[in-house]
Amino acid sequence: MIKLPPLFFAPLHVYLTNILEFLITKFSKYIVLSISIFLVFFPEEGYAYIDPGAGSSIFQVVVASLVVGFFVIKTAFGKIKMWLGRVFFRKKQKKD
Amino acid sequence: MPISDSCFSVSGSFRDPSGFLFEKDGLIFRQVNKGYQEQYDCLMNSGLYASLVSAGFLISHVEADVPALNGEIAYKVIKPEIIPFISYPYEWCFSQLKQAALTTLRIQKMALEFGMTLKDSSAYNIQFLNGKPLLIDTLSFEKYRSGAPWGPYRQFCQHFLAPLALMSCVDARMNQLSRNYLDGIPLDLASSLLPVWSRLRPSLFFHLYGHAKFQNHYEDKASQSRSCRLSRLALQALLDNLESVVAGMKGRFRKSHWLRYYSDAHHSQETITAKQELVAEFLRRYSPGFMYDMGSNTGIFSRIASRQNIRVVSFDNDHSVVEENYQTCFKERLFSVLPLVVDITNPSPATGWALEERDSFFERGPVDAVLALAIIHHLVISSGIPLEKIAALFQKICRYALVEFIPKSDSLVQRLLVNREDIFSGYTRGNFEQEFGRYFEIEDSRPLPGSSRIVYFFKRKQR
Repeated sequence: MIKLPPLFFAPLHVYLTNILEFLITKFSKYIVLSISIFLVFFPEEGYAYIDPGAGSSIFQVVVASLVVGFFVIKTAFGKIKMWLGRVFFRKKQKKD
Repeated sequence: MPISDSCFSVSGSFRDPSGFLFEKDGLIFRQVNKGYQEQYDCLMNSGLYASLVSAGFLISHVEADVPALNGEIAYKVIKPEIIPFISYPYEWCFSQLKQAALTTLRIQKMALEFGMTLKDSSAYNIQFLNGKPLLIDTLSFEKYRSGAPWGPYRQFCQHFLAPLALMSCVDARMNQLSRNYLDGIPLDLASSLLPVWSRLRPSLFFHLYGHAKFQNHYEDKASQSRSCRLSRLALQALLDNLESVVAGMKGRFRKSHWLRYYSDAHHSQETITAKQELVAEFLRRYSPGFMYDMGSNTGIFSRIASRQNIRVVSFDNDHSVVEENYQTCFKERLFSVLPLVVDITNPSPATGWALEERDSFFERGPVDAVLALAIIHHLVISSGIPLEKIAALFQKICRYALVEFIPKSDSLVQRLLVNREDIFSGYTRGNFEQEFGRYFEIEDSRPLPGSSRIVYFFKRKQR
């Protein structure tokens, strides 16, 4: 069984805390945005008809705000996976 | 006017104020207008151009020392790499359209890293070169303004997402709708054509249904002007979402009997091998540089040419076999084959403004040679096209042709005649030779062993 030296816990902990903090900051922003989606879907006053793509421009803001949370989590997991991969790969290489 | 003196703008690029294509002495150039100078310099100096070209995402070009067609507004003239055959989205199979969509998104992602963004995402800006999709419009980029929404989102949904969703949820043949709607399939139309269950897919529900509703809702609103803001992170999330939506799509094909055409009982291995040898001999004899494989099925004969680095446009009207052809060429890394969905009895017409924006299928030729194996009997008996018309078309599009004639006694022709009255008295070997003989020298004719079929080597007569 591979035992991680104590040194490895510290950066991981720091790393996870940082991610959590990052997510909360981002989510709080997008929770507000998600609520505003309803306001956009059922607006009191319409946005301007700027050009034929006006609806699309407004709509992409709505869709992007829905998917951004997943994107942030996905990216964070990708980074963790990469970091862990690097740690274990390096360890295995040392063993060899 | 002789071609060496010719200099004229190329149709299909006149909508873009940033520049346009023009032809001079038979070569294609692109004029970059002064209005696009800043963006062009940014593309070239930021490192984006070099990165895109090395990734195979953007057509390469050199700056040319050629007088501009419209000198007053010209900044530079560039000479792009040559695309041997221009194809259009309504001629692509599902996987080709999917790859083109993914390439567009990857280009956008890369552009964002260099502080630029795509200003349009037309499917017509993507072409296949050496089997891979790449962007051919060098002037499609602009500087990214922080907080600006992605301008081509609507175009991406109409040009790529809507046809892909229809091909995935309804039928691969739905791609033919793009032939009518040159600016992509309207989202409200796509929404009404998609089955109800497709609304359960969140991606389609939002990008197509919701998007269409939103477009309709804001169509007649002309009240206040308010700019939308989309953070860079949100834009990255949107692009990532679109990429995973497109990557997860699978084509929906009907079970086609054409996929088993060369493995069924009507074709002995002996006949197929003999036909392959004849194709190889035809290629050795005439050494064509560029050819059509008409009614190519899964492209087994196109691949013989491709192995000799001959460029082949391999077309058939059945989506399933073209898909199979594309997948096989991709796996075998035979990049000189371009499989397309084209019905020879109704090939792509010229479309767009003044019928000049998109060329018809045959206007994009001619080619050196044509392979027409096991297709003439379908044209005559299934589609009712007289031999005289077939020969006349062949002489317009090629110099050499390898044509297989299948007599009425053959079991496959008999199968075609089962439910038809035999009104094809003119479909005889004698008439076939006579009609093709009007335009072509019959250089050789070989019977195929194990069958009553004959393969002809034709060379066009001097006009």
